[in-house]
Amino acid sequence: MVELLIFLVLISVGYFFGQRSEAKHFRSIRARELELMGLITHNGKHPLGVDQLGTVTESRLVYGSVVISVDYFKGVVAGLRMLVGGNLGTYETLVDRARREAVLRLKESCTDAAQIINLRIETSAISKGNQNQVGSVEVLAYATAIYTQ
Amino acid sequence: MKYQPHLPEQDNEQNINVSHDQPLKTLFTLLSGVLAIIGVGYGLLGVCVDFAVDHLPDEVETLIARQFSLSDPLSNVVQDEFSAYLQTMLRELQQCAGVGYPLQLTLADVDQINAFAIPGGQIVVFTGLIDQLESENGLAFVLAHEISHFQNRDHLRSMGRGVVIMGLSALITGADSVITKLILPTITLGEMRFSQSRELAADRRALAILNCRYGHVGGGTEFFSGLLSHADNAAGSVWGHYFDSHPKAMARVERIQQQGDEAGFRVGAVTRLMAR
Repeated sequence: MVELLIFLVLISVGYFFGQRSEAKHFRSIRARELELMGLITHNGKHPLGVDQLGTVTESRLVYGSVVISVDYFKGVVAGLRMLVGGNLGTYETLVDRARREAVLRLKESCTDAAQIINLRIETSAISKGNQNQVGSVEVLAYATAIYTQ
Repeated sequence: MKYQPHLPEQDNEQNINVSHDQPLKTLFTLLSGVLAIIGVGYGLLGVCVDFAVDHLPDEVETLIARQFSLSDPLSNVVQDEFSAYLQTMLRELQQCAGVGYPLQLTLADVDQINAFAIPGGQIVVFTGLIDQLESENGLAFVLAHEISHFQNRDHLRSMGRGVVIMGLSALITGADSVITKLILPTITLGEMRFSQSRELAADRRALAILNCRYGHVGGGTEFFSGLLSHADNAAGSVWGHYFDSHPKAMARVERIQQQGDEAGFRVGAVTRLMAR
C-alpha cells in the first residue's frame, strides 16, 4: 500500500512539474524561433544565393547542445507503452523540444552570421540502460556559420 | 531558388513531429489495459491452479510435500504426557475430518502464540498458544483449522499461486522497474484476499469437525476471543505469522459464530484442557 502511495505521489509530482515546464519551454521555443526566423539556416554544403552573398570573410564552426531529462510521469507512460508497443508520445515531445532548443542555441551563438550552412543534428541518450535512473536525452546541433562583409 | 523559412507551428499548423494525445488519457488507457490483462491472467492461472490441485492424486501431493522441511529444525520439541494427549486429540479430530494420510503433531516450547501446518501432514503447536487456552474445545478448533488446510490442500494452492506470481513478475520486470512497483502491490492485494477466503473456508470446515467430535461447537471462538482481550493489553506485535493473513480477530469471531449458526450447530459446555 505504501509503495502504491509513493508511486502516486511521484507520478503526480512528475506530471504537474513536467507538463508545466514542457508548456513553458515550448512557449519560449516558439517565440525565439520566430525571432531568429530571418537567419538563413540549411543543411546544404554550399551557401544559398552566392551571387548576392558578397565576399565571405569568415566561416566558423558553431554548435548548440542541450540535455533534457525525462520526468517520472513520462517514464511511467513510456514503460507501459513499451509493454504493448506504439508511439512513445511522451518522449516525442521531449526529443522535439531538445532538437529545437539545440538549433536555437546554435543560432543564438551567431546571430550576426550571413548564413548557417551544413546543419547537422545528433541525438544521444544519457544514463541509458540503468533501470533505477531517470533517462535523459542530449541533442547536439552543429553547423558552419558564414560571415560576409 | 528563394529561401523560405518555416516554423513547425506556423499558420496554426500542428507540429507534425509530436503526437497530440492527452498524456493523462494515454496513461489511464494503458494502465487500465495492462492491469486488466494482468488481473485476468492472474485469475485464469489461479483457476488452473485450483483445478490442478483439486485433481492431484494423493501420491503426488506426498511427493511435493517431501520437498518441504523446516528450514530451522525445532530444537525445543516437548515430548511428554501432554503431547501424547494432543496426539490423541488430533487422531480423533482426523477421524471426523476424514483425512486419509497420517498427521503428525509437534509441540514446541516457544512462547509465541502460534500454530502452523507444514506440507506433508505436520502440525506444529507452540506452548504459548496452549497457555492461552483454557478449554480442550478451543484447542481442538485450532487443530481442526490446520487439518482443514490439509484437506483443502491450501499449501498446494498458495504454492501454485506463488509460482504464477513469480512467472508474472519475471515477465514484467524486464519492461520497467516502475511497472513492477505498480503491479506487484496490486497482485499482493489479490493474494491477501485469496488467503483470507481460504482461512474462512478452513474455519467453516473446522466447525464441522468440532461439531462431529464434541457434538457441539462451544469453545470454537475461544482462541480468537483470547487474542482480542490479550491485544487490549499488549499492542499486538507478538503473534507475527498467524495474524498477518488471518482476518482480524474481532471480525473472525463474528464470522465463526455466524458460520456456526448457519450450519445449525449447537453451542454446548466446554471440556477443560488437561493441565500441562
